Amino acid sequence: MSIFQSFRIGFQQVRQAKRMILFAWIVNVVLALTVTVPLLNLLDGYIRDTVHEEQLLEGLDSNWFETFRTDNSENPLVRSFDYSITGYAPFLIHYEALMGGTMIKVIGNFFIDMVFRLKIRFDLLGPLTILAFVYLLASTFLAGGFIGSFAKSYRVTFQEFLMEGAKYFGKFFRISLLFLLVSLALFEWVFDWWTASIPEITYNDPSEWTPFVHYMIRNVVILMVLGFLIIGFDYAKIRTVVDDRFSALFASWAGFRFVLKQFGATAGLFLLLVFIGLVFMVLYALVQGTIYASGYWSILLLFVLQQLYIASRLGLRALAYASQTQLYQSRMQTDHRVEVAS
Amino acid sequence: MSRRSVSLIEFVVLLTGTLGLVAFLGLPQNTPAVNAPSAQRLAQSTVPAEWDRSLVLPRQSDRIANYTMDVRLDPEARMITGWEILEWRNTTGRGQTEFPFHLYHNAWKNNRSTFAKENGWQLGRPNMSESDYGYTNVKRVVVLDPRGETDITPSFQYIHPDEGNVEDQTVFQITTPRAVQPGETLRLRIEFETKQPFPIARTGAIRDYHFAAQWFPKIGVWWKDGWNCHQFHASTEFFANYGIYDIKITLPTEYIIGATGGIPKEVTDNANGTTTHRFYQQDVHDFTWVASPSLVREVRTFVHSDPDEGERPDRHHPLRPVQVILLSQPHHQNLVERYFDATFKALRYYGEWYGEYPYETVTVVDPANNSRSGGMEYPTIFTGGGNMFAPKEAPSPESVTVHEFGHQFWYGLIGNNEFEEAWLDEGFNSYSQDRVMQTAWPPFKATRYFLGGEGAGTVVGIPYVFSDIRLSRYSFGNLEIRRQGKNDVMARKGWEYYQSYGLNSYTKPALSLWQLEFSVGEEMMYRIMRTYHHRYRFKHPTSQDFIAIVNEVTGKDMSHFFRNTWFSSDLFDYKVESIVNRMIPGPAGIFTNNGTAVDPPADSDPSYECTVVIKREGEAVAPIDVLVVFQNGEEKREHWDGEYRWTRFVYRTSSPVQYAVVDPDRKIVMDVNYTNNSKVSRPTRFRSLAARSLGTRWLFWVQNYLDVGTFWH
Ligand SMILES: [Zn+2]
Repeated sequence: MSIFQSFRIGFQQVRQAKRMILFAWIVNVVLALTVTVPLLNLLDGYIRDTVHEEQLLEGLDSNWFETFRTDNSENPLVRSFDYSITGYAPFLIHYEALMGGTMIKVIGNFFIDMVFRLKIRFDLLGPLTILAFVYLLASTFLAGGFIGSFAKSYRVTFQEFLMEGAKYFGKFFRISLLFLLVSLALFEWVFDWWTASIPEITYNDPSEWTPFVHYMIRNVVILMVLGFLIIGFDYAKIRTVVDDRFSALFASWAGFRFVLKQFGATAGLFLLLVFIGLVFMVLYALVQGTIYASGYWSILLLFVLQQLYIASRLGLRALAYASQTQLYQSRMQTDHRVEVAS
Repeated sequence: MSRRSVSLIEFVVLLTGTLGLVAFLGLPQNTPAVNAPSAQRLAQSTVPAEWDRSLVLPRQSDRIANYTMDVRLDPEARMITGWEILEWRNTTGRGQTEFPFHLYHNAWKNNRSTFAKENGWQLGRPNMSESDYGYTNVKRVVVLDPRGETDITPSFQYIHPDEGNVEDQTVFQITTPRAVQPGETLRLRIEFETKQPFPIARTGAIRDYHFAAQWFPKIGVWWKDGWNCHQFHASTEFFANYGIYDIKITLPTEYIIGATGGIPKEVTDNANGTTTHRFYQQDVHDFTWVASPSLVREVRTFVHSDPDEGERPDRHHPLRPVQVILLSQPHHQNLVERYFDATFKALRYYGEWYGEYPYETVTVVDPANNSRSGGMEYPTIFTGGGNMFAPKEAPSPESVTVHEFGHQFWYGLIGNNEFEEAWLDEGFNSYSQDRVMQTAWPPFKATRYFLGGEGAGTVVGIPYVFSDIRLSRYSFGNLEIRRQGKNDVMARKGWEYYQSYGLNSYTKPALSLWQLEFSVGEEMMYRIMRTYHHRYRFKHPTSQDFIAIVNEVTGKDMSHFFRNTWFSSDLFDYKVESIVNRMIPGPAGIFTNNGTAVDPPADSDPSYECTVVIKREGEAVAPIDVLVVFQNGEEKREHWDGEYRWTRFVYRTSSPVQYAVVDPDRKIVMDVNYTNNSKVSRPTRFRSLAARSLGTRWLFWVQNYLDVGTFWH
């Protein structure tokens, strides 16, 4: 089966799994609301009885923004509440954090402290990190649901979807931990060292073009490495389900072996999915720029656009599981046939 | 899991989600329209003013300290060697035998200098090798007298006028055998060598880029009945007499050079691979130069344009043409237009507002990366600074160019003592820079470089413009004051602040001038600044001189204003404490006149008693306006002297107060908290739409964070 066939069948499967994607979206939005509602109330109390209510709707004033942050500097949520909430800056700031391995390091170090130093250091985790960890658990559950469902030859019910999620949760969580450890090691021992060396290497360079090129090469390499890890661990999950494996370690080994053996197909399919993700991002960036959120309906419009984007991203994630499962299943059949023939 | 429990889970999740969303976005509501107060239009006059015509710009300075030099740069050794002849005119009114000199480069000689000590016993560069330090050695000092030459090198000694650090070598003194009498001129020939440090404090050499500032022995200033020759401190700048500089610099022929004076008067090819450039500039108080073979030189001429449409003709004072020399980095050619544009605009507005720029040239240096020479001013030459990735919405290189050019006026032409009253140049110039930026460009935007980091002495990455954010007119100055304003009284010597040199030299004085402008009016402020500049061009005014001008021009005693700003560490913070709209009830109770029944009062009309309470939260005091707006649209503008801790305004009206704003025109720009300056009376069930607009963005930010941050599941 070609990349495009896998993609097509996967797409059909995802179209039939709208309910599950809706569920994934609800999980995302509900979790996000747990930190949004408190901040919203804080903002509401801060703004509602002042003329800034009207002024802010005309445009965000930097001095107001900074005063709000100063007045509420003790609030851990407010510390992340900066200009990056505007426009399409959320993408940039979060991909920057991804490239710096920020969350990997926080959660990784939390576990390392817990396991090796027998210390539970919640002070390392802000509310956003804790939330992300909960979301990780939820996503692990959903991944089990999706792959478990897509691996079946028939259309599953929502109940089965949840049961599959529950069934694979433990195994998938172990794969996630493995992924965490591998990326933590990469960031701590390779990427961080690389990032720190760029200012030193380019320190005496006359032109800022040189460090820029260094950083962009670093970004591309990190993305490629992380992309490779993502595909490998995706197939690890898929093989856990399809081959009915127990060990996360062996499943991961098998996942990466499959990726390397079928590198053209697996990487091609992944790049196709990444490309679609980029298209979503560009579309969002373009459309949001035309919405001037100054009244109830325009805010609602922006809200709908944002949720559409998030739902599409989650749909794309499901599509990745579906099409990759298809690809794996079809290639394994071919492989068997080849093995039988020889 | 049973089918029923699954449905239940699904139902609960969906319900929570929906309820959460409704709670979050809410339902549309009719919000009472509150029109934001708009700034009052400033009064405008088109008649050329009598006061303006009576102002005279001094043509030349007192030329007390004049230097002739012949020096040579050895780029490999980073060494400048040669001699200077100082001609110093004695205007002190008494005979002088002892003469203090600055040797600024010795601040970077070791980690025992006062500069290093104040910087935590280091020079701000880790792991310095011996060749990274800088110094100036005075090899010989000779008095040149028609009667003969006298070598007075043995009288050379380091002195420490500011503090007892005997290891500091930034000031030395020599003694002449015979007193220089009032009106006489001292002629000294000083042989010296200056080793350029690895870039520190806007001086030094990196790669083939040599920036020579504060590089020669420079005599102190006789001021306020004594020698004023401060040691070089970590945060302070400079002070010197005006004079004529006639300087010959010899360096490798392939080097491009820029210097005070701009266009060399003579260029001599020495036929040995070196060239000598002679620069000449009158009426300046310092001489700085830069040289590098990789600089790109371009010269354009500033010509004063005709008045723009709508521009006030009485302020369009004719200005002389000026040759603008730009020395840029080869990889910064995309910034060339921006540098010229900014310099031309600055030349125009500073010239029109304060007085014509008197020199023939101005040289703009785009500094080499990591040279630490960016953003600094010297007579007729200054350094800007820019990033090749800077989007056009970002204010750099424009703002730094305008600022550093502006120092030609506040530092160059007005030669205040930067050691003791840095705000007279940095603060005045920051205020003027703000004015030019606001006049000449649409508002710039906040920008950030993503997915990159430090390198080549700057920050690189993918530029992003926060186009949704409106940069405030006065940036975050009031918040800086809130953070550090209580540390120090603004008017202090530059090295005596507790962590607040920047605040008290730039931000606070700049904001105080804006506040003064809003207090006296734009027209009056224009007159104050223009008069001050005309009166003190080529002189060394003090804060008291400026205050005297303010009092003179306004015809009022404004010392109250300066007591609360320049000579205080108090903060301004006025707020609307409360609005109470009380409906006056119908008459109830006993209405008699000493026991005899009388008619009860008629139902009151107007039927509301509205009370607006204004509080002064800060210790600083300023008279203040209060805008009170009623629900029927009626407005009342109140005025309060702002003295007591609070005041209240009580109204009996038929329409309740809808909102009140203290300082509606934002005249008190130093108010450390604007968000408490207003109160709006809204229904209790009202929910802020602005909060939801921000909350929606935050929600998406968090959702995206969850999505991207947990890629490893
Ligand atoms: Zn400055």
